[in-house]
Amino acid sequence: MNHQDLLHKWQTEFKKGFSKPLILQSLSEGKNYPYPLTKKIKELSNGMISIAGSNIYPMLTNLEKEELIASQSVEITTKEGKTKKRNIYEITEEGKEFLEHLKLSMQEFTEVIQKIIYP
Amino acid sequence: MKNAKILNPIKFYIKKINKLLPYPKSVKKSILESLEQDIVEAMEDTNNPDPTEVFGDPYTVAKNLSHSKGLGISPVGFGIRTVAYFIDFFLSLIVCIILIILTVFLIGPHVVYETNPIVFIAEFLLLILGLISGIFVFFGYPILLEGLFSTTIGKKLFGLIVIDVSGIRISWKQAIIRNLPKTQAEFLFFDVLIGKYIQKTTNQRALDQVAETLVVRVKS
Repeated sequence: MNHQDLLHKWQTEFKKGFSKPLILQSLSEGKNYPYPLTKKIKELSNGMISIAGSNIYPMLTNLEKEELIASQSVEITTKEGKTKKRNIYEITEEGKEFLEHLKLSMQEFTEVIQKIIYP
Repeated sequence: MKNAKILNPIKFYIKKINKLLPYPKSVKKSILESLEQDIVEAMEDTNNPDPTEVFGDPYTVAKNLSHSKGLGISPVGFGIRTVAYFIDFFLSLIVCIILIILTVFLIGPHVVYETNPIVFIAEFLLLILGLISGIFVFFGYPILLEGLFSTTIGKKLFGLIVIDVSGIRISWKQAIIRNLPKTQAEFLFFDVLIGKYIQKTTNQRALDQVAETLVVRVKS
């Protein structure tokens, strides 16, 4: 395997770990629907982290099970004037507290890693 | 005009996903409506008319939806499935017997007293066909119903369906594999015992494990 392919493979692996923290961070800035959430994450990360298609749904469910976010089914009107249901997600109080702890922990972690890699 | 162009492939795409999810309409409706809005926005953003390219293949989307919404996560025990099995067994046995009796009584006498060899052969073949279709109903009943509707009449009475372990509709191949032991009650008994021995938590018969299928109760 050439280095470019290997690099891509490794990047995919470590990027996965950042998806859930980024979802939490995005939701801490306001409620959102699944697709706009993936779009926001892509924008925030300058396209480095993009959650493909429906892959965000299991992540949102996991976060919901951990009670860090909550969902609500709301009625929206489509461009054709039809009323449809759509799930909107928001961060819970527990999620906000957890995010603060997570940020500190991630900062500490990246500092340690940087010290090892760039002594 | 732009919207009309975008909406048709989306409807087609949603239809494919809908077909892959063997759950009641009441359960799927809001999930698919929500999904549709995400797809519409994603396609408008990327200006790509192919939902599969924008959102992924329908199989992956259906699996992700089923998994994330917990549509088929609780496999049911063997007790209720045994009752459903006996209901199906007697239903298919009744249809099988009716078919065989009808064939024998309607065609049988003609065959016995027929003197014209061509008519005799035709009636004899018809008799055999009738008997085979009776037997086919008996053995093919669960395969046919599970392949088409992911459930049988017996299972439906208890709100049970058969799904792929990933949460989507089973294929014909899976329906055939998992129903093979039903041709002999002894096979079915050992199938359950071996399945229970290998995997204790998922209530899968051995051939359910081979076919990668689960019997679950659907949310109402």
